[in-house]
Amino acid sequence: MDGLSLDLAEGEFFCLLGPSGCGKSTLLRILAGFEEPDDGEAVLDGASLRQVPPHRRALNMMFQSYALFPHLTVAGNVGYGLRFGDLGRRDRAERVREMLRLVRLDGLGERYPAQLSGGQRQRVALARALARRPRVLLLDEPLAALDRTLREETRAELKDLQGRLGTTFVMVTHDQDEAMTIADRIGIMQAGRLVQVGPPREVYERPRTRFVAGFVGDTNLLEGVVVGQHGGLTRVALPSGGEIAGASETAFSPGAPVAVAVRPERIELRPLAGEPSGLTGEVAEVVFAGPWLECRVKLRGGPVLRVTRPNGAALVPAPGDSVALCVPAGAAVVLP
Amino acid sequence: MTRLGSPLARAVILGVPALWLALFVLLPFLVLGRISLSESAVARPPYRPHLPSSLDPAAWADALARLSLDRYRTLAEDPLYRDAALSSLGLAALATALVLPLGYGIALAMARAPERWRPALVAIVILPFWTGFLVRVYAWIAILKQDGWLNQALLALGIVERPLAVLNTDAAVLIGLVYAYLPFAILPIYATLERQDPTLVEAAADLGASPTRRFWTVTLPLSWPGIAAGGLLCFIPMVGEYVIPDLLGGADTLMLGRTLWIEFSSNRDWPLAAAVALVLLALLVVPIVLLREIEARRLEAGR
Repeated sequence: MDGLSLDLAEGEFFCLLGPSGCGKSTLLRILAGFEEPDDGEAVLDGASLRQVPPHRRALNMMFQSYALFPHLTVAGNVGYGLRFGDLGRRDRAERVREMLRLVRLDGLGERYPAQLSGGQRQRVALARALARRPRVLLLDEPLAALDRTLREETRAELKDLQGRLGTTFVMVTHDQDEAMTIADRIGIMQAGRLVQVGPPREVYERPRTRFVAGFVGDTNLLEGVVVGQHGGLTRVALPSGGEIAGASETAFSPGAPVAVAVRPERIELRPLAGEPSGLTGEVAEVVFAGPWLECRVKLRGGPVLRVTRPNGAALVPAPGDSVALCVPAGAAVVLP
Repeated sequence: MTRLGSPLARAVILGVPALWLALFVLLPFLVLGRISLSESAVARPPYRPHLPSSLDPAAWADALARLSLDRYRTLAEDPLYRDAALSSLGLAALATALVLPLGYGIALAMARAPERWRPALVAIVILPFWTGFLVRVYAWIAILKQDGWLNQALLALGIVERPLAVLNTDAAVLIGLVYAYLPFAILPIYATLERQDPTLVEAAADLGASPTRRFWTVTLPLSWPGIAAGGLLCFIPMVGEYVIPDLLGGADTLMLGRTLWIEFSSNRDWPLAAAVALVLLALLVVPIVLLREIEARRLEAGR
């Protein structure tokens, strides 16, 4: 992990997104206090957490494996952390009931973790981590062990719960859909570095590096050379002929090699009429993918672009058609 | 779905251990039972069987009608045997109570040691088994005797003024028992601790438990199966232990194993010795079955 700095806002849902081994879980473990950073520190409410052992930190963690205590009942698990606080016996029992209600497990307090389904266990882990009313809740891949339908349902519940409690959530995930739909802000990690932080839409529409563009959502990366910059748009000439104008945060001198990132759903296709000019290509393949159709368009001069059309769209080309490609201004991003 | 193995293969798999148990456990105890119901005699072997060796029902009916439980009555009435049984159970219980915390500490240190050291640590625990048990108990005589290493060390350090009489006391037996059975306590406890999910302790820390509380609320309760197994593995053979009380104990150290040997060899009272052996078994079978029952119920509840 290297040169990483991150500020969390009160009450936000923050997602750390990255491929496995990028250091996102390590970052979470540093926040929880299981690992000490070689250098640097975590600060909560203005106080440094350096040398503060995990049991004295006002944040709680929900483990990927849930780490439920097998020898304790559901109520025993949820109430475990309350034993070390200043709540009396009656208040503790009340808090446990409240937490079980919160995760819709009322009446299951006497069961043991082994008697629960995967989804129920996940909710016990969540209730246990929330029972102490932490300032920050850390979630390590909380939905990874659930099957697809349950995962999507739980995602919405988690978001809703976070909104109601107003607790700051920091969630680690490798699932970009999950991060995109649930988070207020996303932090993309790559090889121990935080490469981009921002709201999901911004990260998706304005990726700052080729890695972010490729990792978050599908993207077409086209190599080209800068022609000029004007009014926030950078014009890039492609080796296959034609130009694309894209947004850019960096200043480029003409002739600089760059990549243009365009989302497959932002490219428009038109039947080619008359002489080919601008970006043109030939449809190589059309694949039905359920909600959308994916066209592979071979550009003159080599690269293949992926273009998606919603299922039922009016203009869907057939393989072999010659098409003109149009990238609306603002749909493309120019990256160094 | 296809089953693995033919019915014959399964019969063999189940049959071999059953046959083994019948031949080497059940049969010897039946023989012992028969001897215990016999009368002593100056003969070779030194008893006259009471139960017939044939399967003739008339002979059996006659023998059963005249059945004598005198040996067992002797065991119940003579305080010598009751004291021997009580002192065996007491010494074994005390030694188990000492060996468990000691073994637990060592097992915990082993389980928390870096992973690459652990095989070597296990090897060190097993190492004493490579030498003879008798030799190792003899070595304790050299340590515990009047001018042995223990007393020399204590005198040199000025802790005592006169050598302690440790050898040939119950204390020496206790030391011997703890020493000899320590590996049997360490290994099962180590096995459960080593398998414990480390994230459970992390979760406890995260939820506010200090290191001490983590141990009492998570590590210890989850290692009960290992503690129970280790305790039983020590307690059961300790009750019948013969070598240690014989070599390290005094003339007044009464233990069932030793009593059994005296009846068998010095007194040549085979029926009484057989009865002692069966009572020893009965004493141990009850706690074993009870403990297993409790353990099974506990696991059932945890499921």
